[in-house]
Amino acid sequence: MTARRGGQRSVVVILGEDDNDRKAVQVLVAALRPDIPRGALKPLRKPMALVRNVPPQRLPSQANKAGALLRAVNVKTPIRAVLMHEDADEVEPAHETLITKIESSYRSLPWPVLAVVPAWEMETWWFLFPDAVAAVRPTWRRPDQFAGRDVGRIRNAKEELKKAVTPQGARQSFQTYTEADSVAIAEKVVALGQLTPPWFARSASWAAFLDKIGQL
Amino acid sequence: MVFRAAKGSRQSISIEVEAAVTKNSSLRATDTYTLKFSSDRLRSGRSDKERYYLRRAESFAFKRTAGPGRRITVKGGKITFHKPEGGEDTASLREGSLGLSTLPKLSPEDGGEQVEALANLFASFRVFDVDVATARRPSQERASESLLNDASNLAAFLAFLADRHADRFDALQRDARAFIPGLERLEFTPIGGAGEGTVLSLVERGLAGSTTLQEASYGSIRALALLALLYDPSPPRLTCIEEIDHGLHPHILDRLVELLREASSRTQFLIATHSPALVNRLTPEELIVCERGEDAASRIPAIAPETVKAMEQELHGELGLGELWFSGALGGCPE
Repeated sequence: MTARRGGQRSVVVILGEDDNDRKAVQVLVAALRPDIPRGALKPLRKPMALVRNVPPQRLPSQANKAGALLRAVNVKTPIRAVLMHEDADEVEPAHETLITKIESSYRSLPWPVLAVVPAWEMETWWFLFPDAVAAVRPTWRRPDQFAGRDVGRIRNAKEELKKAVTPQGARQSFQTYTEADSVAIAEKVVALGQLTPPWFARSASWAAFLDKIGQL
Repeated sequence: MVFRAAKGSRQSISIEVEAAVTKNSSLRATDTYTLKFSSDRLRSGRSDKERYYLRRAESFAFKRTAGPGRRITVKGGKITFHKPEGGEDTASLREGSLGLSTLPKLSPEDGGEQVEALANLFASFRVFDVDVATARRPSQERASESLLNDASNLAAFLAFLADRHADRFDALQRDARAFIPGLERLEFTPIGGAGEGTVLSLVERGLAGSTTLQEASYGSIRALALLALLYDPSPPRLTCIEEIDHGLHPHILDRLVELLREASSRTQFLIATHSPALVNRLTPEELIVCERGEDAASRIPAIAPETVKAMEQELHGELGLGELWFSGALGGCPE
């Protein structure tokens, strides 16, 4: 059900530092919640983007800036909820602490703020969808080494994914995975209808993500 | 002239200018000029291929001393004088002629002077796009009263300022020291005897001799060209500048914005920028966000200025206007 205020549809704001991650989240959420039109999901750059990788200890000052941004946005388009993306940069269960930290930092805001936290980084979740990854580029290897295992233990998921899709003996110039491919992977996940269990592998942070999106 | 419409349909684009240039006009009773282009299908006889031709129409509206204003329209080779008491007089124009360039020949009673005032206004608009490579070269004149739109006569123009507007030049030089680290003063060397040309050099602190523009950095030349424009004692009515902050250190944006505000009492500015740091220093009234729509048409403004102002107020100083724009909240960002 889309909420309307004064004739205007309200939006779910997706905040995150990285363009690719924000768009990938938008694609996944639009598919998981078809009741929310894609136009009602609004990715915005987190403030302080002139400084990347702000550590979580700095969150309180970030919260003021994000809060200011959200209040300004709300003037033009009513906000119904906020999805706050941040990579855990650690293996599971580190995502749990970060989710709690993020959500409590923004508790004073008048809208529900739900944290989207992949263990290590977004690429961890792509190991749950080897078919979708392989469908992005025909030259890539299918990254299926984690069948039935816990992907939440992967460190440096992006590097792992790059290696995993590169076939043995490939040239130096081989077009391996880059962050810009994230959105295409998310779109393939949706196109191949892979957003339902049973899951190819296990991930507690992915389960937490599904739970959060269900709360929207 | 190239006009590309959206595929298939009949399309038009019109440019409307409102100005206060003619004798009886004011900001409350403006002159208007509208130029409209449309693409129409040729009635093709036997050919299967669709052919389009470009149509053009102009409309002038001027205030007169008393009563309703004067209206003249030009379309398809026909000039129509709309009489204030009703009715029309017509005359013909050579097909393909632009009313703006031909109608100044009309008698004053018919509006010739007024059209000429408008035409002169447009001819004077400055679109400033510094050609650094050409500006580096010695100027062809000793001194030049008018700064060229590509700043290719930078040395000669600054020489003119130094010679005839000493106070202004002093102030410019003071700003140049802030814009160009290490600069002590500007020096002019006539070449080939007086009247042949000028070389501009930069005397720098701690360095023997001086640096000619030929040797100076890209950013230094851009900075000097901008300062020359901002200190022009007789600027045109409208000055357009592309990517104004290009090559400039963000720290001098404060002074740049101050200079722009000062100069804007003498000329109206339209300035393109993609710099959040620059936008941080603007008021909502000074900002127009632009974006390209799905239909390839430009949306200018992409968001109502009153909305930008209301949104900025909610920031309570936590974020600047530039950061608000950078987040994507004002539009005008890639999807």
